[in-house]
Amino acid sequence: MRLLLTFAGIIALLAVPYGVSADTQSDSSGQLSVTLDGISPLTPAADAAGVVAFDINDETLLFMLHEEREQGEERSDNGQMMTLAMADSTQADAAAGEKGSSNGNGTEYEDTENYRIADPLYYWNVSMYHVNDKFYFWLLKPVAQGYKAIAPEPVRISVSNFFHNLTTPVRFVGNLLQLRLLNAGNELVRFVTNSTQGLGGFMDVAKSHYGITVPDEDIGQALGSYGIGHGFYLVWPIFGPSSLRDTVGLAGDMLLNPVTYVNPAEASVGIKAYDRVNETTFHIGDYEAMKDAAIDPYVSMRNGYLQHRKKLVDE
Amino acid sequence: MKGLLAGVLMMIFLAVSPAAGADTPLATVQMHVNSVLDVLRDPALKGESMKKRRQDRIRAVSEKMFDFTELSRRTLAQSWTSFNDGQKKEFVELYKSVLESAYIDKIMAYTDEKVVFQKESSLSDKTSEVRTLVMTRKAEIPINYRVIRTDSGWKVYDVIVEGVSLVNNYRSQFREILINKTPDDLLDTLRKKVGRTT
Repeated sequence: MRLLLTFAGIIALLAVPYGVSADTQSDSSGQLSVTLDGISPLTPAADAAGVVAFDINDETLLFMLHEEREQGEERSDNGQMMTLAMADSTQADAAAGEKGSSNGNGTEYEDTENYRIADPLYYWNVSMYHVNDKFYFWLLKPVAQGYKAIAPEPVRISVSNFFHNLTTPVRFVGNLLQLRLLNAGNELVRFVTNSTQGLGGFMDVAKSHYGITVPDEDIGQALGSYGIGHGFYLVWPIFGPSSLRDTVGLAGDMLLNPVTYVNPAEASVGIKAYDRVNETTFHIGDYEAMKDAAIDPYVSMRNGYLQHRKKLVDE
Repeated sequence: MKGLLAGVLMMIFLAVSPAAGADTPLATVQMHVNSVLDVLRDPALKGESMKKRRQDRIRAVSEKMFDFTELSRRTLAQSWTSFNDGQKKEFVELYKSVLESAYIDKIMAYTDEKVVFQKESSLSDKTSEVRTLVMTRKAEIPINYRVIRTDSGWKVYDVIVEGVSLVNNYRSQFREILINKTPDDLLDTLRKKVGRTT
């Protein structure tokens, strides 16, 4: 736990001086300049997505797409090189779309929102994507299926309610940090109601009897609501898709999760594993469907993560 | 005489208005979703032996429900113009096949979930968004449909599940391919995906 926090801290410290806050909206920053380094100029969008150089601390860091590096096209600028996949929708894309409609093809792109994220750790992330894929198919899914076979749905829903109730501090603080006092208050009311009338949290009587529902907040969402961008995409083994910002958030979530403080540590991990297996029973087939539907599952998952998180932050 | 005229006008109005009412984005989406649910709940179509027929019926609904050309155009966004007419046509067909084969099985896993049609909101002068909630016993899953007005009524061109737009998701994937590859390469990738080798 402490290790994870330290690691997150190091990443944050490393990232801040470089100003890698490639937020979905922040590409209007003046330091972004487009170079046409070795890329045939097809469209403005392709150029923008292809190679982007940032001038930082008198050094030009060259950001380029991972595909180019895969092809072995080594290129550098002032000796400093860094790969960074500029992914997903870009401003230039939206601009091109608008241009297209004014040219009379009649299509509006009001759904062309900005979902892009830097992916400097592409090779790590792809590796972890595969690790998590195996983790799911070889361990998590079979265990969840076995458990699902013996535990009836009402039991699994009760267990889910119990863990949800237990992690109230995460959502309470998440709301407080966003000054959502009404929601924070409702979290408290729900906690007290469900812990007592709901028999220790196994029943969500707050919802079923009093109609109290509160959108799930977490620390990453609170950070996002401050306008802090994702930083870059980061896939963790076991935990799955995340970003620099959401990793810091995840560390905060863990600190606010009472289960983290269960002694010994093995028990704490075991309880969290059980929670994970229990939750997975409700989602068997979702990952498979995503993977099956995707042309490039890694890109699909990265985009899906961004879109989903953006929705949660916006709410 | 005036009374009669008013009466006739009133009758015409009454006769027409329910039809006009069924023409809203929400009513259109509701109609299609309900016809899918009808297929899923039809006792005559239950069981493994009827699986093929269920798939066909759902596919028939999807043909009426979606505007796959619009969906394709929005997915490719500015890349759409770099496809020639033949490539566009093939892309629409292949993309449709990818979507149908991927999602029909997923849809058929739904049975007893209730769908709540919440509201519609206008996005532009010819597009709207219909918000729905799929109620499972554990949670409510928000599914929004974006529709566009066409000559043959409102057609769905994007589906947004828990904030994830289908069109946007595929756009990100196709764009990565089209950065280094041609439309023909992309079509080839899709052909392989749907299992056509021609």
